[in-house]
Amino acid sequence: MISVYHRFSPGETIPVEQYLKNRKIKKYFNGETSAAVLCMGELMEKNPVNPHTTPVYYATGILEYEDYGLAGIVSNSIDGTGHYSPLLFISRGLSNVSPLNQFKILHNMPLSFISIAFGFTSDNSSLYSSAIGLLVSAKTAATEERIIIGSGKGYRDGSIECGFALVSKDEVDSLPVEDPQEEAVLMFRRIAEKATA
Amino acid sequence: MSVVSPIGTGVDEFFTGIDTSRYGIDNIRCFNTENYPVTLGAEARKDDSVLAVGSEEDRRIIFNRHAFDELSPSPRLRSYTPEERMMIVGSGVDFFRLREYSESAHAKTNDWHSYSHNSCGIYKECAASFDCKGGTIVNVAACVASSQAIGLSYRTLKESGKKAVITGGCDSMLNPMHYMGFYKLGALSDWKEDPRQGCRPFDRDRRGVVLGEGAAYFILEKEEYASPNDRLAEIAGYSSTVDAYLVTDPDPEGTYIARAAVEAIRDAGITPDDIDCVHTHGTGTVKNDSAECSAMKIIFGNKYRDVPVFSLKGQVGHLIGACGAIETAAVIYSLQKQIVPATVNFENPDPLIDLTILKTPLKKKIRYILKLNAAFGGQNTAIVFRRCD
Repeated sequence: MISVYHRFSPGETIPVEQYLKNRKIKKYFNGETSAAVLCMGELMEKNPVNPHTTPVYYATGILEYEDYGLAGIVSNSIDGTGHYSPLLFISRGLSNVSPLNQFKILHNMPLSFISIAFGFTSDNSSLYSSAIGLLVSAKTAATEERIIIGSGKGYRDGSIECGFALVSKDEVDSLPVEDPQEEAVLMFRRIAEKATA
Repeated sequence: MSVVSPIGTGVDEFFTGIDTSRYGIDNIRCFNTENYPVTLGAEARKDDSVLAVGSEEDRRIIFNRHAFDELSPSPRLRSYTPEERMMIVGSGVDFFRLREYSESAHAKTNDWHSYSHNSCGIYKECAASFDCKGGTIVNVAACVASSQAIGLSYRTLKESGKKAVITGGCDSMLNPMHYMGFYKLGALSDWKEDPRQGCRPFDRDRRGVVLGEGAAYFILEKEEYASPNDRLAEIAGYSSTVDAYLVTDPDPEGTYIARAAVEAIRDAGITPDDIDCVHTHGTGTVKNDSAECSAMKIIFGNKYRDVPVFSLKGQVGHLIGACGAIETAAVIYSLQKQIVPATVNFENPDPLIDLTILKTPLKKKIRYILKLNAAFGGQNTAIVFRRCD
């Protein structure tokens, strides 16, 4: 198994540009997507794979951190009496929000941008949170070759955690999962802790 | 199986809705759309009336309640131990109680978390009520979320000791935040004439997506354990690919939708010549419908016009995280009734899309159906369904 793991502090720069052939796509990224692309880039440097045949399964963490402009939407949608106004929501609340912010909400964007940045076209899944999704996807993949699994999460305080691993089906059984329904990113944290111990 | 949809709740009402080409799209009523630039939606209905849901309620929870009520009397699950059962489902973005939050003291401190319903949480109670101790997996791959869930369910039963999976999906984007978020992506139909005709798959005058909502669930069982009398259909093959093209647009060549289809057909142990019809993704956008046409030509070569196609979205809109599930219910309709339905709102052919799209239903022998779906962001799925003899 080959793995990559990062934890970024709130506001810490994620140096993802080095892995982008087209740097313009970074404007669509939230922090988790940046971390996922960075981790995949480092994994590919350690062990390049054929992106047209290697499955990629990714689990995004339960949403805790938002950066699509909720505070502005809310403050611009309240009328003088402190009540939400559907009319103000349309005319002010949402009108000031860039269309690009929608890409920070959609759960499948990390996998989508990994695919675009590195050319992955094969079997894939965008899962929500739980480790069991990654484990089952990997174990039942329609290939006997190695598989890439990854997970990321943006925390309430703005920190971001992300990990990726290139694993064989046999190695999936020994991944450090304590509860199959736990957040998948914890598995990558344990892999990293074990590696540095 | 169970269904909650804009053309009916309950399998019988849903099938009748397809039989009669019932319209499920109209101007939205579940929230105030005054001054909205577009107002079309496909709200879930029962007995011809929009399902009543409070404006600050997560509509998915209500749909799940209806859908799981229809599913729960099935004795099939009780023949398996809780550890042999899983739940693998698809859904969409988290729901947010915008009005309540906006008017709360929490808004002043950006403390929004308790106003959010995440797409995992809505299934915890459902999984517990079905005693699915084998695990719960939620897929959130946008427009292929529930079809990837169905595909993973099929693989899980093939490859593991699990014997039954509740699969399918549920979604609703019909709330101000998500609806207008989609509008900002430039995806929504701005059709100005009869609102019921707002989604026009493959039509020359198609104007984009109409968001729909609902749920559909299936009990998927390993073949050797499934009762012959209760089988509705069989999943014969599955594959998923990604375009790796643009985040906003599908690959116009349809290369990777076609690859998913070819792989699924191979997985089913058949050839493209065995496919009797294709239930497309057919969103009614200029780019998606064209890409699917390109894909059909790759999959079937010069025989692509021999295979009739269908899109349900003219009737039910685009259910995003649940579209694969609700459209699988339509696949089962076709297999059971041996009918390729008419694609509602397909009136004037686009000269660049020369697929065989029906304006009236076609009765034909159907053994294999290919189901295609494609997501915003480039993910694609193909599932091959076989009629149970």
